[in-house]
Amino acid sequence: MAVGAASPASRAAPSGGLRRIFGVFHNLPIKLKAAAASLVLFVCLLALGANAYITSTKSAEGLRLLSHDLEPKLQDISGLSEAVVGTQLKIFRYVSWASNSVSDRLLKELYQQIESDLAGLTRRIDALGRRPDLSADERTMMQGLLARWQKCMSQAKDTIDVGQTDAAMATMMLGQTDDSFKAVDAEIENLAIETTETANGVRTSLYADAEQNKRIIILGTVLGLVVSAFVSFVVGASIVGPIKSITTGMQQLSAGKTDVEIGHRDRNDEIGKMVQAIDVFRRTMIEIRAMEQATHQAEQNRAAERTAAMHALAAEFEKSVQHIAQELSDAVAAMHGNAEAMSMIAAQTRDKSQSTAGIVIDTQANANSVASAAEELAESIEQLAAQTQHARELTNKTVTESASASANVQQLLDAVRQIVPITGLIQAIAQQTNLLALNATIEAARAGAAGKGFAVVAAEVKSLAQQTAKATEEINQKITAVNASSGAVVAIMEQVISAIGRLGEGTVEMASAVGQQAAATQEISKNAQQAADSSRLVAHNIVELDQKTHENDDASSQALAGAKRLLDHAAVLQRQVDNFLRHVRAA
Amino acid sequence: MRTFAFLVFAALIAAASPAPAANEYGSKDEAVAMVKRVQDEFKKNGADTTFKAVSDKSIKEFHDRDLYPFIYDMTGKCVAHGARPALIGKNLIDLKDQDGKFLIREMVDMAKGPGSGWIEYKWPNPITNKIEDKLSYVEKMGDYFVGVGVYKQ
Repeated sequence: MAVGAASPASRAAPSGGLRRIFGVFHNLPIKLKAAAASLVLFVCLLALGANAYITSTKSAEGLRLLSHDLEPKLQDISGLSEAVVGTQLKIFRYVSWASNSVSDRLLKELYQQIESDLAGLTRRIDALGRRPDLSADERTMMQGLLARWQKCMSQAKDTIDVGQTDAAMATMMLGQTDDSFKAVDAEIENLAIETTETANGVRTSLYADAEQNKRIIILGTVLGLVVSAFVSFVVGASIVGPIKSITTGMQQLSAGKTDVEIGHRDRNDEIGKMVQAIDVFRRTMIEIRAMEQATHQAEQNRAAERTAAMHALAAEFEKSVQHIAQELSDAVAAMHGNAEAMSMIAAQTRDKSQSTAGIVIDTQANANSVASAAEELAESIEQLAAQTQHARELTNKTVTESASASANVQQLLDAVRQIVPITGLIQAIAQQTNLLALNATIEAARAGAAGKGFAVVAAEVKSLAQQTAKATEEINQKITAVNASSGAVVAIMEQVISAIGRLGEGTVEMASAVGQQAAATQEISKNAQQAADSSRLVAHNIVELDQKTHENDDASSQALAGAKRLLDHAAVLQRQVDNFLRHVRAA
Repeated sequence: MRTFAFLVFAALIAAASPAPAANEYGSKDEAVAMVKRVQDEFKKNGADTTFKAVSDKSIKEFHDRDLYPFIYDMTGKCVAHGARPALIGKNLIDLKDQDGKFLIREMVDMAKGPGSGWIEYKWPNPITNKIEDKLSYVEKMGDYFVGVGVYKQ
């Protein structure tokens, strides 16, 4: 996304000339750009100030000319004109008086007045002619006036001179005097007009200057405003616009958009350098992001591999464990069945033991021992089941100890087999008892009546012996059954051992993946040890079956319960293994 | 040629009637005759004597009733005057009569041009001292011109 592509500069510069100006501006340092508007205003102010100074000086000079030169000169000229007219009137009055019988004294006074006036006028005209502020035209006019005045004065004098003696002739001469005065008046009038025109010229010039000054001030002000506004706009467009686009670009950069393209890179001023620096940031960001992505990808790959390995392990473990657990479960179920059978057998043994009294005690005791051992085994297995999590250690021990358990079961078998000679002895005893009872019967018969009661006893003993023999036979049968069952137990135990062995293998694999399994295995081993101990006790107790026949029932039922619990624990083990696998897979 | 003939004629007239007329006003002929006398005097005795004689009212030759000669130079300055001595020495080139006629200027022009002639204007009569219509004969005389006029009745 090209933020600066449509820059204000390019929008505001439609023509090539403007673009060049913008280009020059772009390459100027910002300090100069900021100074440009001020410079333009400064130049405009300077020009306006210079114009104001020049115009004011000119105006002051014009006003000084008007008030110090032209107006006084005009006043002088006007006063002169009035005086000339006044003198002319006096001459007319003189001729009039001379023609109309005015006294000589009055005429003489008037004559002297006129002479004095004429002399005064001559002085005034001379003074006017000597003014330093006369223009060349005015000087020429003053010369003409002076000449006319001299002629006029001469004629005026002639007129009053003639008037002293010849009023009629003086009257005749009034015409030429009048002409002369008119000529002088005309000269004065011309002079006045000339001076007035000069003054008017000065006034017009002042007015024109003021008007022009006004126009220059308006024009200069407008021009200054327009140019400075334009320069401000150009400078602003050359700074504000790019900075805005740079800000937008930087915001997008900071928001993570690394594909942002900021314009004005070609400029040589601070903005161009800024944009170049930002571009360096941008590219660095892109590189960092690429590196991050690569790292992330690698991590994901590793995690996936790990998970896959874990899942594979778990699957394998599950397979083994489920298989083992299934086998364990089957074994336990079988054991349970056997325990039930054993219990039943034990119960039957007890029943028979009760009838065979002390002889059976050993068997009973042994059976109890077996039951007890079975219970303890069951408990051990329960513990084993409970502690399967600590499989590693346990498994190791289980493997070794299961072997000894098997040996113990073998011993149990041996012990049971040892019951066989005892039952043989019991059978022999029973035969001898039978023989004794037969003898006793014979003896009783010999004794007759006295022996009748003894014969009854002998018959009873005989029947007891027969019953014993029969019971012993049954015991033998039962022992055979026990043997068979024990064989089955041994076989099952072997299956258990091999199963635990395989469990151990699985657990060992597990242990390599999961360290925690070691403790559980340890625990299992320990329990297996305990199970082995219990098995040994069972073996021992089975040896003492005879003595513990009366406990046989409880033991059998406990064995049954133990087997049941073993089943339960096998299920628990299954669940925990499932849980464990679930966790492993979830991990 | 014409001037010569005129002069001969005038001389003849003057010679034929030297006595003054009995009329109150002088006639044109008498005026012309007086001019001739001034001319003669001027030729005979020079300018200064002529000017004095002309200005002196006691000399009858140049003062007859309302007839008198006046002599101006060519700038219009009055050098001799038979009736109004106040004018002697005054330049009257710009003098105008009541009609606004520059009479001296016309006389100068006539003297410089044809040399002689009649000019009509208004001028105070020395006898009545009133401004009247006057007809003067003017003739060039050296650097001057001389004139004698008659007043219209």
